[in-house]
Amino acid sequence: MTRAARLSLWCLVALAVAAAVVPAMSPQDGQVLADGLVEPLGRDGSGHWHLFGTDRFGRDLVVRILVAARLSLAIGIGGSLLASAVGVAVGAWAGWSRGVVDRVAMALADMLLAIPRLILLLLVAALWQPGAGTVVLVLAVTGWMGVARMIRAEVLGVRELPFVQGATALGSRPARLLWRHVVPNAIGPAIVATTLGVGNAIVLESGLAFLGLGVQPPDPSWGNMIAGGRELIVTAPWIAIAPGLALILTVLATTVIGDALRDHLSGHRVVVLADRA
Amino acid sequence: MHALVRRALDAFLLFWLVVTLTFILVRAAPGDTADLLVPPSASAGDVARARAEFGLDAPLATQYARWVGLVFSGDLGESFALREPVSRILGRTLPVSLWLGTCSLALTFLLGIGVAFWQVRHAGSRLDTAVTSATIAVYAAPSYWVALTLVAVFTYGAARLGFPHWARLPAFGMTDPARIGFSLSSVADLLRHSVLPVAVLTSVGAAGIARYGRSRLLDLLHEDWVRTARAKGLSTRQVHRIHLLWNALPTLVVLLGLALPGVVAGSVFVETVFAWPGMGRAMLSAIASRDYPVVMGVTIAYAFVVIVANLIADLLLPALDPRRRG
Repeated sequence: MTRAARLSLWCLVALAVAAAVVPAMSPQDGQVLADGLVEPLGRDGSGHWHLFGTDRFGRDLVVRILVAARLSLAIGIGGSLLASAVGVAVGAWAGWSRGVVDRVAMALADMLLAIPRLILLLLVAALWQPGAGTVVLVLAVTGWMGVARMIRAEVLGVRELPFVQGATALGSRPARLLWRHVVPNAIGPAIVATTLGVGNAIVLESGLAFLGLGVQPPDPSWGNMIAGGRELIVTAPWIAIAPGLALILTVLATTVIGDALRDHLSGHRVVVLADRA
Repeated sequence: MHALVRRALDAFLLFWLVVTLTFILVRAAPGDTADLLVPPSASAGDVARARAEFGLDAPLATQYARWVGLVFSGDLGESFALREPVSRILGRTLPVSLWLGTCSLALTFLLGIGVAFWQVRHAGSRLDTAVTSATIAVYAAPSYWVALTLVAVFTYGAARLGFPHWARLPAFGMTDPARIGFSLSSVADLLRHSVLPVAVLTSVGAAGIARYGRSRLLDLLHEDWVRTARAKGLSTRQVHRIHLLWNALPTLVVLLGLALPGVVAGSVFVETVFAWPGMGRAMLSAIASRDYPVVMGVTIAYAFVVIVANLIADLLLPALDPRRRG
């Protein structure tokens, strides 16, 4: 593991721990603390010091960013995991059975890939009730195609290897053979895609929240915090900028970890280009 | 020629599937569309009349056939909210998005590929590592956040730091409302208004291209022909300038197809933050008012742009890479 990847991992762990601990120590989960807008590094009326300042309701931004980290991280990790799970299932099934199933699954994937992911997200998120659960579901529905294609290609290769024939000769049933022997040998790229997908999911989630189609206030997510600061961007820009820095740091960390994982697993560098918000 | 026709047919089929998918998605949404067409105080009769007026009382199969017919005749139906043909709304907003998208895509490529080539020439140096870190960081930034930060710099920052007049770029709108009509100054005005939105889309896009391009170019440098070229006495610079560039071209064309959806989608945020009257904003306001015909129309327009771009990329490939000629 490279130094950068180790550092990134520690950053993420620190963020997760801080998100779990710090808000609990501050009164009312970072709700109103000051009596109004405080600039970064400024002090409020009662003398309390605020690193990133406060928003217009007097809520400390650091605490609020950490509260938002809970939802943003959960949605990012959950959305990416669910998308990969669907992708692995569909891709493995398609590559294993070939024929009609394969054709239908890949046509569906091509079709969903033809619409930019963000537009697809907007379309689906807008038609259903907005909320954290919907966002995770929508991320899965719009994010499984890449993994499915990758797994399918791997399965098509692995199924021709001698050990598959051996397992068949030993009387292994096809379903068992697929899940116990073929998929574990084909899963490497999916693990990398899932890790890189976390950062992507966080960016997309925040984008939806920014447009008012994701996590709804008063539940804080980085996206709706940035949206909340938008009106005051001319007079108090730190409200929108601070949560963005937390988001960038998190996505940066997951990308570095994903890159390291890929170099480790595949031995060569392939960069995946993804739709970003 | 045979492969060409087949590829075009595939693209057409894909487009038809997308048209079908949009119909299914919108139809599967919870709630009765007709309820949205009338004020809450409307009687049952009014709802039924509205339903009939917009053809929502027909069987699903009929509605689907009508929808497909509309799309392929280029009509796309009428907006619920604006009572205006969707095609006219698209005609008004598409050029705005295309202007934004084309400028950004062109600059994205020049910048992204330039940075990638520069990095490959200095591969392994400290500067290379620094630039790689920078591209990952920019790539990690959501475009709307970059946009808001730029707005902050050119409003809040400009006031505090006392920017000179020429550096005070407009942070909102596509044109100055005071300047109407076509003239040299109105073109200059459009360009001035375009700087910030295009810069946002370009920086985020170019970071992705540079990242991808660098790793792809480094892979290419391990190929046998590089060693052959060096062995026959060409300088590193010549190998990079001529051999590498030509061999990387097919990859770059594929990248163009891959990068397009990102730029298209990014324009939704950029149009929102900078208040540009493009397709992305039309989509968002249509979503807010549940204006399904506009939502469907814009989705299809986006998919159309992406499919056509990928088709062009696919057709260009055999011209650039003899191995792909069948």
